[in-house]
Amino acid sequence: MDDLTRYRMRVVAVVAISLFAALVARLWYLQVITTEQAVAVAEQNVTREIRVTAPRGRILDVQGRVLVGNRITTMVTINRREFDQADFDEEQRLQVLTRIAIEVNRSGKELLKTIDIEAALDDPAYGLYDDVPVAVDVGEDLLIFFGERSDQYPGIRVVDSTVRSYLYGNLASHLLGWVGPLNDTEYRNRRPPAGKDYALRDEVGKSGIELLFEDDLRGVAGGRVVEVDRLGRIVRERDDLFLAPITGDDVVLTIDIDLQYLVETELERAVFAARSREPERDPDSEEEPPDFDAPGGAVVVLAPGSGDVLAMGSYPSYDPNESIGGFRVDRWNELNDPANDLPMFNRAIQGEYAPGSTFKLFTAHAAWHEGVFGTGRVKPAEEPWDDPGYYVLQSCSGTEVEDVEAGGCVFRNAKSAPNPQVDLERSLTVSSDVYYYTIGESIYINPIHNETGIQDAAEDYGMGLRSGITLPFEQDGFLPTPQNREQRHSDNPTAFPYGDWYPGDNVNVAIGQGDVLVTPVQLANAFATFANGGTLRSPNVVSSVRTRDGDEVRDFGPRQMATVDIDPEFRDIALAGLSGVTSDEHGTAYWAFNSEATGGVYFPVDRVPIAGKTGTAEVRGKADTSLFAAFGPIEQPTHAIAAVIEEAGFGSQVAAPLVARLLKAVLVDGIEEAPTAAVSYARSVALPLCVDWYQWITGEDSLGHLEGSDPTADPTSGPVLDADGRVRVRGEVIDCTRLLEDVAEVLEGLDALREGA
Amino acid sequence: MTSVRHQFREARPSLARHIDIGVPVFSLLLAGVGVVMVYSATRGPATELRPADDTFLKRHLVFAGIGVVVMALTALIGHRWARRLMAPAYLSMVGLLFAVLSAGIEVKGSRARFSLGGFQMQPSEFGKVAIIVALAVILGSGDRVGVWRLLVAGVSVAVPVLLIMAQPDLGTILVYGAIFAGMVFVAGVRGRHLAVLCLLLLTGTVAVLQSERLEAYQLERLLVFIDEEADTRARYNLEQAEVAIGNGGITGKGLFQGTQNVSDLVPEQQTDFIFTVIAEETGFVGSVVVLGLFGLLLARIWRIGRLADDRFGLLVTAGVFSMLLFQVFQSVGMSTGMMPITGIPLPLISYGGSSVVVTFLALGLVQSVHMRRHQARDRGMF
Repeated sequence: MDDLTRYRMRVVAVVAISLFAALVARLWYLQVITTEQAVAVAEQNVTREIRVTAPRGRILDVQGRVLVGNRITTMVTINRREFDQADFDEEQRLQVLTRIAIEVNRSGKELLKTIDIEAALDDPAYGLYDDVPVAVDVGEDLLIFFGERSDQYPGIRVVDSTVRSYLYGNLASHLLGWVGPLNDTEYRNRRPPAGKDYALRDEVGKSGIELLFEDDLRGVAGGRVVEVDRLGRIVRERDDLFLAPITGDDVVLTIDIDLQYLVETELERAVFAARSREPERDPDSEEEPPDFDAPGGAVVVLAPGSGDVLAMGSYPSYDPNESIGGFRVDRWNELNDPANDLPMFNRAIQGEYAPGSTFKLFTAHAAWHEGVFGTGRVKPAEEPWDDPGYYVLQSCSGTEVEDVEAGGCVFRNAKSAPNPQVDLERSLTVSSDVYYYTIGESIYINPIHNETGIQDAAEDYGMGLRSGITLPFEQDGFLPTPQNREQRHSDNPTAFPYGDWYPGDNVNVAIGQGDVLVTPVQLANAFATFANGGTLRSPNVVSSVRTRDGDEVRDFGPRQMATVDIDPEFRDIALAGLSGVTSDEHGTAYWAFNSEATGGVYFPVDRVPIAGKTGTAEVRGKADTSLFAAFGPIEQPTHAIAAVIEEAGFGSQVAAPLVARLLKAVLVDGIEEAPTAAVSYARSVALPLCVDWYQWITGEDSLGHLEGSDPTADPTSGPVLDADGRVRVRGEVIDCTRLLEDVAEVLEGLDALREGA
Repeated sequence: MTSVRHQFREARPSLARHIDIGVPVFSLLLAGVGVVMVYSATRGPATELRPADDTFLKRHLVFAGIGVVVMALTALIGHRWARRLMAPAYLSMVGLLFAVLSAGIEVKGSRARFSLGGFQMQPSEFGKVAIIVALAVILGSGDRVGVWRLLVAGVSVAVPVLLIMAQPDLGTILVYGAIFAGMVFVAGVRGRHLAVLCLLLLTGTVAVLQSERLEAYQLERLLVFIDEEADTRARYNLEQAEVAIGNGGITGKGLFQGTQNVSDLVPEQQTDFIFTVIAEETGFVGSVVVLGLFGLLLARIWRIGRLADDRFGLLVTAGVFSMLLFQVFQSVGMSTGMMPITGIPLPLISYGGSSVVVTFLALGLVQSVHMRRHQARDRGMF
C-alpha cells in the first residue's frame, strides 16, 4: 500500500468521523436540548380528547321518588366520514341504508325508515367526523350483527348511551317537560354556566322543569383521552388523563306523584264522562247546541299555606319518553296538530279560559270593599231579595222587557231561572247571575265607585298576571278594562274594532265573562289566596335543588307576591256562601258532593266542609267551559283546586264532580300509589292472562295459557302466568286478583255514569 | 478441479484463523436491532381486539437469515471469485435495470422492483455490489488511475445511474455516486482529475435539474421519494420524524411504547424512517449505541482495507465502506432533518430483503478480503 492510499484512507476516516459527529450532535440537539417541545407536540399529535357527557340530574317528587332518571340504551350510530369514504354510488348507498333500516326494525321498538336515516345523515348539526345517531333502544343483537359486518356497513356502530327516562310515562309530562337535541338557535342563545358548555345535539331541556332547571340538571362533562393513529383510529386509552364527568343536580318537586296520578286519572275520567253526555236543547232556540267535545282540560292542586303545587294535570298528555333521541318528525307534527287537541300544550298554565261564575267571589270582594252594597240598585249584603231570573240595565231607556231585549239591555240567569230571597251569601251558593249583574252595572255607572273595582280586585288575587310559577311559557290571562280596550283599539283597529266600553261590558265582567281570561293556575291561586286569608304567593313546583349526594344547592321557600286585605266579615259571609255550594241542597255543586248520580261522590261535607264555586263559561260557537274552584277543609285549608274542562257544559256537572272525587280521595279515603310506566305496561299485558286465569279458577274454562306455557320461558321478559294468578312481565309481578278488582271497579263506575247520563 | 479442491482444503485452517470477528459480530448485532425495530414499527397498537402484527417480523427474520448465510458463503468463496464474475454480474445488473423499467411494479411513483411470488426484488440494490466489484476491477488493475481508466469507470457507473434515474430513485443514485467517489478517491486518482470530476458532477447535476425536460412533478419525485403530494407532505413527514425523535428524549419511551410510532404518524417507519423508531423508543442513548455499532463496523471495514494485501480487495473494501457510510449518514440525516428526504434504507436495520441481503453480501466480500490477506502476496498478486 503506497503512501497516497494510506493518506487517502486517513482522509476517509476523518470524513467518516466528522459525519458521525454531526449526526450525534444533531441527535443531541433533538433529543436532549429541544426534547421538551417535541414531547409536547408528540402528546398533542396522538392524543384526542373525547367528551364524556355527564348524566343529567334526576327529578324527584316531594317524597323523593324518582320521576325522571337516566337509563342505558343501545343506540345505532353512523360515522359520517367513514360512511362517506366508502364511496357508494347513489343506488348502493340507498341499499345499505335500507338494509340498516331493516335490521334495526327487526330488533327495535319503533319503525325506522330509510328517509329518517338520510335525514339524520344530512343533519348539519353534526360534524364531519361525528357519529350520527339513527336509532335508539335497539336490541343488543345488532351489536353483533353490525360488528361482524363492518366491511358491508362502513362506519355503523352500535353503542351504549345514557338517555333520559321518564319513569311514570305520561304522568306529569307537561310539568316535567322533555329533552331533545340542542339545535342551532339554542346553541347560539344558551348561556351555560361554567363547565357546562354545549355541543350541538347535546341533550337539552325543551320544556317544563327540564327547560327551566336546565342549568341545574345539566352535569359537567368529563373527558377521555385516547391516543389515535394517523387515520384517527383509537390505539390506546389514557386512563391517567381521564376526567370523570360530574352528574347534574337533582331537582326536588313539590308534586306528589300519587296525587298527580289521581288528578290525571280523574281528569281523564271527567273528560270521557263529559263526552258521553248529550247537550240539552234550548226550548226557545232553533239552533242545534254544540256537542260536548271535551277536547281537553286541566286541574291544578295547590297548598294554600305555602303556594306549593301539589299536582297539576293537563289533558290530553303525551309520553316524554318519545322525545328520547329527538321526536320523529311525523310524531312531532301529530303532537302539535290542533286537530289532535295539542297534547303538548300545558293547559294548566297556558290555557286561558273565561272563569265564568267562579269569578263571582272576586266581584263580591270588589263590591264589599268598594262599598257598593247598599248603594244605587244594589241592596245591602245581608238583605235578601228576589232574583227574577233576568236583569234589565239601568242605563236602558225602555221599560218593557220585550222592547229593551232587542237593544241588548237584558241579561239572564242560566235557563232564566229565578232565585228567591238572594243575599250575598246565597248569591254565591246558588250562583245568581242577576245579583252580580246588578253589582257589575252599579260599580261602573255610579261615579262614587272605582269603575274598574272588579278588575282591580281580581288583579289583587293574581288574575290577569302571570302567577310566577316555576315553569316556562306561562300565559298572562286577561282582565278587560275601559282603558286597555281603548288602548288595544287604538293600537290595532283591525283586530279590535271596538274601543268603547259600555255598562253591559262591566256586567259581563262581573260574572267572569266578556273577554275575562284566566289560566287554571291563576284560578287555583286566587282561591288559595282567599283560603289562606289573603296572602298571594307565586306557586312553587320545585322545593329544592340538591346534589346527587343529597346536599342542598338551593331551596325554594314560599314566595310571597302581595297581600290582599280581606274584611273578616266579608270573608265569613263568602265562606258560608261557598260552603253552601257543596252542602246546601240548592248549592250548585250539592249533587256532585252528595250523590253519585252526576259522577260525583258522597262527601262528608258536614264533617269536612268544602268551599267551592262552580263556573259555566260561555264560549262563542262552542259548548260551555266547565269550571270548578274549591278549597278545603274550610277551617284549615290544605288543598285549593281549580278544574277546567273545555266544551263540557255546566261546571256543576263535570268539573264539580271531578273535584269532589279528588277531595274525597285526598281528604277522606287516602290516595293510592301511582303505578310507574313499567307497572302500567305490565298490567295491560297481564289483563288478558288474568281473565283466562279467572275463568279457570271459576271453572268456566281450561287454563290454556298455563298448561301450554313453557316452564323455561324467560321470567324477566314474560308474560308468564302461574297457577296462583300472578303474571310476571319484564320483572314486574302483577297480582290478578287486584288487577281484576280494579278493572271491575272502573267498569262499575262507567256503568253508573252511563245510567246517570 | 483437483487443484482447486486441494487449494481449498489447504486454505481452510489459515482462512479460519484470519476471520475478522468484528464484522460478523457488529453486523449481527445491528441486524438484531433491525429485527426488533422492524417488529416495533409494524406490530401496531397491539390491543386486545387487534393482536400484534408479526408478518413483517417473520419476513424480516427470513431476510436476515438469508443475509447471514449469504455473508458466510461469500466469505468462504472469496472476493476473487467476484472478480472473475465481474463481467456477467455487471451485464446482468444492466439487463435487470432495463427489465425493471417495463416488467417492474410501480411503488410510490418509482418503478424499481420486481415482484416475485409475494416478495419484491430491487435490482438496483444488488447493483451496488456489482458496481463495487466492477469499479474495483477497473480502478484496481494498475497502480495508478489514468484519465482513460477514470473515464471507463465513470461510464460504467453512468450506465446504471441513468437507468435508475428513469425509475426514478434519487436515493440509490446518490449511493452509487458515493460508492464511485469513495473508490475513486481511495484508488489514488490525481488531485486535479478529482477536481475536474467534481466540477463535471456539479454542472451535470445543475443541468439535469434545470433541464426543461424534467417536469416539475418529476423533480419533486426525485427530491421527495415518499409521497406524490410532494412539498407540504414531505415537510409534514419531516416534522413528524423530528417530533418522534425528540419525543424519545435521553432514555426513550421504551420498546413498543413510542407514541408516534404506535400511532403510525411517521411514514415509512419500517423502512426509510426506521431510525425514528429507534430514536423514539430508545432515546438518545439508544440512538448513539446504534450509531456506535455502525461506527465500530465501519472501523473494522476501514481496518480491513488498511490490511488488504491486494488492490482489488482494498478497493472493494473502500466501496463497501463508502456505501455503508453514505447510507447511514443519509438515512439518519434525513430522519433528523439534516439531509433532504430521499428513500434510502438504513443498512441491516430497515425492513427490505434486497437491502439486507446485499449488505450482508458486501460484508461477506469484506470478510473475504481480511481472510485472504496473505494469499495474494504469496502468489505475487500485489
